[in-house]
Amino acid sequence: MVENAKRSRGLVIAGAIGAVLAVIGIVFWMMQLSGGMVQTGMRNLDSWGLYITMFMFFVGLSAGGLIISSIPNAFGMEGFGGISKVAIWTSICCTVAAIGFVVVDLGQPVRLWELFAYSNLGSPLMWDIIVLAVYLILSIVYLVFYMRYEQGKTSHAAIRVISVIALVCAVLVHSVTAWIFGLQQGHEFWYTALLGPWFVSSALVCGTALVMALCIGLRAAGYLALDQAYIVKMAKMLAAFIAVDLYFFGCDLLTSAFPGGSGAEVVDMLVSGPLAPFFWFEVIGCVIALVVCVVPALRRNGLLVGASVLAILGILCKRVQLLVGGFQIPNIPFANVEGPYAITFGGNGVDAAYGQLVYAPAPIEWVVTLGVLGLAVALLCFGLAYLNLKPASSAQA
Amino acid sequence: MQEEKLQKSSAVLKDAPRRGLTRRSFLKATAATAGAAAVAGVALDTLPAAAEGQKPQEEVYQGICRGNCGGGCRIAVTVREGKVVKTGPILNEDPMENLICARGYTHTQRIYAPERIQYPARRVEGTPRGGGEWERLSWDDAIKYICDHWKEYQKEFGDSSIAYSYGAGTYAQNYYVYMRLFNSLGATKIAQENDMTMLNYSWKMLGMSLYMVGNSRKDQVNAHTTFIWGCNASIGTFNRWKYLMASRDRGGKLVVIDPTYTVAAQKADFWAPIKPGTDAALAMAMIRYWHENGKDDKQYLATMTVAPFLVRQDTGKFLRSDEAGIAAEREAGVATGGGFGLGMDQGEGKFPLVAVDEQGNPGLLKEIAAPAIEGEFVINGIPVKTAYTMLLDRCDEWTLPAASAKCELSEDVITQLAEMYLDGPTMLHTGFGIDHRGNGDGASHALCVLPLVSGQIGKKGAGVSGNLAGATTGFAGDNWMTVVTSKMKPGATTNMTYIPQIVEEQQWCGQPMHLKSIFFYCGNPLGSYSGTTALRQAFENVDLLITADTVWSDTAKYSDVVLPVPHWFEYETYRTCPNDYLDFNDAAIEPQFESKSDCDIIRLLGLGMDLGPEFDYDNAGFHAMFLDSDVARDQYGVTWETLKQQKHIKMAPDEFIYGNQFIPFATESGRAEFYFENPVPEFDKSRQLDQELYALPFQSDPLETYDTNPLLEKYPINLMTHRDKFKVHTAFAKCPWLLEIQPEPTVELNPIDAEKYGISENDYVRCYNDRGFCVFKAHLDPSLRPGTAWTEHTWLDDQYKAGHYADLTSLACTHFFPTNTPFDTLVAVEKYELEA
Amino acid sequence: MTHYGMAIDLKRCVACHGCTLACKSANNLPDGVRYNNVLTDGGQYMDTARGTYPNDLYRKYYPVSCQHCENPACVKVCPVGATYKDPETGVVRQDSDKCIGCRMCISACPYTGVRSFNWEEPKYSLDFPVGDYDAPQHVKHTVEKCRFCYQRLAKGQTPACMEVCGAMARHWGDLDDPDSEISQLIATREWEQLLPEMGTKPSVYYLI
Repeated sequence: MVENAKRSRGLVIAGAIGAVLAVIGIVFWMMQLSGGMVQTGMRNLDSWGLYITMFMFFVGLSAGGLIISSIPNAFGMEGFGGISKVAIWTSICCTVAAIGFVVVDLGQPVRLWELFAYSNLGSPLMWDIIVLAVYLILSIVYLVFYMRYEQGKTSHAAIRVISVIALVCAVLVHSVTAWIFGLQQGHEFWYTALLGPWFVSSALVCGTALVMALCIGLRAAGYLALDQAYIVKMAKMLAAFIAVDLYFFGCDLLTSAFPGGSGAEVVDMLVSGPLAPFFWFEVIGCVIALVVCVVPALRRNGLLVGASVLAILGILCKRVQLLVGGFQIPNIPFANVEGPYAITFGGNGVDAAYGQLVYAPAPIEWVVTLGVLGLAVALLCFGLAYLNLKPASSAQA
Repeated sequence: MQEEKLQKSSAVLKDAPRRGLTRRSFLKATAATAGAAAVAGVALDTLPAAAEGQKPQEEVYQGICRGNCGGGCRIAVTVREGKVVKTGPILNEDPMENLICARGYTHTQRIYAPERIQYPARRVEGTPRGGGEWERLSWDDAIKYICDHWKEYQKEFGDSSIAYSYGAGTYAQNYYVYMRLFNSLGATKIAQENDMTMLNYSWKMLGMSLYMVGNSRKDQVNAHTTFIWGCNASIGTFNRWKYLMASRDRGGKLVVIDPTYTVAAQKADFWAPIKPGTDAALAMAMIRYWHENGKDDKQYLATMTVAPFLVRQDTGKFLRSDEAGIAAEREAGVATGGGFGLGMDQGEGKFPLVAVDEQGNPGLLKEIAAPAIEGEFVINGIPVKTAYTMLLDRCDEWTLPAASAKCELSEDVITQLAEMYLDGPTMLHTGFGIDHRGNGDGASHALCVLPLVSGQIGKKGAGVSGNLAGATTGFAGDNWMTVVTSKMKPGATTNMTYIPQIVEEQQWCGQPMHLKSIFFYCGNPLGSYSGTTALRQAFENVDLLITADTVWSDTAKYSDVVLPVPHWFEYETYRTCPNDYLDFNDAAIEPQFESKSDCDIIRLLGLGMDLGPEFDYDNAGFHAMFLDSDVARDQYGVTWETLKQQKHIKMAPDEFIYGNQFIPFATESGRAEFYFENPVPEFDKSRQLDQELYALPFQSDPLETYDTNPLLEKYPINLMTHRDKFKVHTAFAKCPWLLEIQPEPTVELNPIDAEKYGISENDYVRCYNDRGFCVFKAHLDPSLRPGTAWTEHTWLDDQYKAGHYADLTSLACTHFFPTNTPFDTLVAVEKYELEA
Repeated sequence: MTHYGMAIDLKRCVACHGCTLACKSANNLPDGVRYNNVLTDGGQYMDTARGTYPNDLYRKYYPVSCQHCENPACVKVCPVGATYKDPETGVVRQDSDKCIGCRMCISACPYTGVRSFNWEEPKYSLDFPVGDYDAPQHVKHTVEKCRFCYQRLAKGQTPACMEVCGAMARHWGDLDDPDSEISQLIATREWEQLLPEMGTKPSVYYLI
């Protein structure tokens, strides 16, 4: 009990820190709203930035986490089902963060109600908002049902049904997020049918990595007990997902580069251009993670956590490439799109603006981003501390 | 007041037809959109039709934009709640007459600019000029201060100690009212001769007529070939661009001769990238080629030019009847090679000119049906040659190989140019470019000869245009006696080029001259003239500098007393040129702050200088006087009152072909006087000119930018300026909307030079020479010929990161028509690190 | 039905920026906001060329504003319908009172730079509104763009940029009317459109 209390206090402190960060973030968000988004690094020609990058990333994390934790339930498999509640809760927290990132990116958040009053159902953004809302509600329902199931108040069949729906929704939520970008013919880098499946594979990579790291961490902390076999299983899954993700990446690069037209510009931008650090981090990081996961001798807890972190950061790098890369190559690269609102590094001509990363976040964006992260951390920690999320077996122990 | 304004506005434009492209599409648009508003009822916030009832009271006035760009556009000035809220174009029945440019839309920002001078002010005593410390004065005190000093100077140093300097003009009558005052004071005129060499040459040779030396503007469309020579027509003569395009639409060809790949060159059918400063050689080679191949228009030369005039080989003067031993009476109006043809020979007259007929027999020119235009003769013991033979002799040096080597164009290109010029009708479209180099005099002369020898003038679609062919409607109607009063005293005339010399020598043309005060109006010499380093030094020795301006220009800031003048749309006046209409300029709003119109200032100064009732007129009174001429009244039926009512009165005909038997040249001989028998310096009459040289075109070296100049080792780059589409001289330089598009001074360098001097795109660079320095942002532009660079003409002092462009330029000039020579500037370029 | 369109004669355009300023003035645009820009297809800076002096030089101007596409990418993606196509005129309009500031439209529009977001409270160099009395409102944190001067269309006038082009390079009219001047021009002149491969079917034609 003392142990538990201590652990809880640790979680509460972490949650409190998160909450404080969230409050600071809100203060800075208010500053962003009152002083204007001119304080961010975003401009007309790179009109999305860190917030939308993080939105993509967290949707992926959330979806991936939920998919991984739902598979055993959905297909009635043995395994790491025990961590389902933690995973669902983590997904919920990630979803909240993702929504948070969209909200802080909006210029007119007080007009959010219009989304429901004037919904343009043709807009991928609207699809995403709907799917995200449904997904969030469903995740909560899933969690509640899971808890009730553990308390014996509902049947396993119901859990299976809900988990299948959640699974579908998780896949959908990330596909739709992909479509926000992938359906834009105006950005060569985004406009590919592969983007949907690729987002799902990326989600699986970071979701699996997250769950695996979480399991190892929570097990080490004594929060839950899990057989190493399951960890190994997850590692193998992670390896498979990374391989698929890299395969998609390869396909995309080949398709871009092969005709040698403007697509080659995209490849140049990634391989040797301003986005190269993010590209190579992702590729090398994922390859290392892959190796750690497939070589039995390397499947040690520490290394596996390291591999997970590499995979997650790799996917984050992918998100950065995707977002910034979309703006990095202008469709109309002619001189004189200048002025204070035109482009982050404007004033020095086309090549100067595009010769570097076309966008970099401003301090206020980092703080607001930390705030949203803080919100997620607070939710996660308080949830772990106060909700009964431990696996039934471990709780009984 | 309000009522008066409303009345005014109703007389103005409200009911004038405002046409789009076609009336039909217009009406249709109305129907469709009104329907949309009624039926769909979407998004009412931006659907103004629904708000028609709430339309606020708006008055629209006619303003004339007169920044001396060559446009003089009519502007619809919209006033709402007492403020000018919009300036835009006034639409005409003929869309070709619709004129406006980017600047014309920005007057709201100029009218309410923070840099407006608000009240009369005097530099705080003991503070340096340009120190920015000012003491506010009442108008009475300011006028008294000026007049007290002037009277003192007059007494002690004579009338010539007061000088006046005016800039490029505002195309309105307020420009001339100052002359009434200064003529009455016998003050020294610092004439505005910047950019004027080619104009002067053209007027001297071809006379000044209704469209200066050109045909009506609309005649451009009839040209089959247009030679755009040394003129970026897309900016420099923007108001004529659509006529150039119209001639092209009709199958015409555009040929551009320019060292720089200008936008005109970009749009042209043929571009000859000539070496700068060699235009005379090219023109003379073309003349030589035509003659050699029998392609010169001998008929035109014989009848419409001084080609058959006989030039005495001993004196260089035209042979006259008394010298030839032919009995004849003296007569007035015979070619003298002086004057603009405006002031005919008022003296006892001269003996008539002599020519020889086809058999070589001398006689009176007017009595010979077909005079010889070529040949060498001895008449009455005097060796003579025809003026045309003299011209050909002068051109003889410029064989194709010689010109090719000089101009760095292939012989083939020169031949093609010569042939294309003959593929007429051909218009020579030129302006302020060639004469911005120190050897522009001989080149201006050579260019103006081209239409004559080719016969590409005096017929539809052929002649001279560009900056040389603005309408002179205002001049035609004006009562020029307005600048004269009963107190008129003869005063000296000089130009800015000579001011340092005068200040140093304290004399001008042999007469003592102690400049004590200069009054600047309609201009900003310290921002837009050349040689400002030398000028500022000279001004150090002038006690009282006074500037009347709308904004705090460089010159105003450097002055001792400033007088606030209203913006153009704050007082009534009218435009005098360069369009074929006489246009009224409304006072859309009252003069702001304490500003007073030029006429009101002249009234105060005139009365202050005890010049009496001849100055006791208000703005309207002066203007009524200006239009009180026989020509205006009788020929055009124009008075100040009728102009106020009608606003827009056609003065010059659409069909006007200059330089033929129907409309002969407005020179004393009625012919094109390409041979100057008596070239004298325009200003410095004490100088001896090389009369033989200046009689005919010549190719000489520029003053600074010549190949063998040892300075090139130190200063290898030839820095030029280009006309700026966002400014006219320094006017509009601080307009925020325009600064959005072009935020700061730039210099464009050829990438080859940039690499040589270690300069990359967007670097700040320092251009410098012995005269001064200036910091610009550098851009790489292969449009510039290697070895040349250019910048915008020009910015205000505080807009440069350091230095000023004009400080780099010199006052060096030649003296026939002395002018600024800003392209004749060598500089070194180095990378410049801005201080953090 | 009316389908307003624009044809710009690139052979005539000399980048005087008159259109940019006409627009700026009529629509009372805030500082730093321009619906129309004249772009230089040449060197790095406006008005510069690319290539080698003197025989291999290239420079071309493109006045670019909203292309008022028949198949606008922006309209599809706006979640609240703040940007929409006017069925009566074909004009792609923008409702500043509705826009939630998500900038999805900016990202979706293939025509770099024609849409702009008010990144802060709009600033003006003068302290009173200028331009048309019924100029569009400019609202902080919303997206703006050319509306073909809808306030003028509604009164039967042409857009401000079309009123007077100093080079007479701009033509405006009903693309659905085969007899209109613009339809005739498109039928008889060679033309290009910006990024036709995007499938947006722009209503702006560049005569070449």
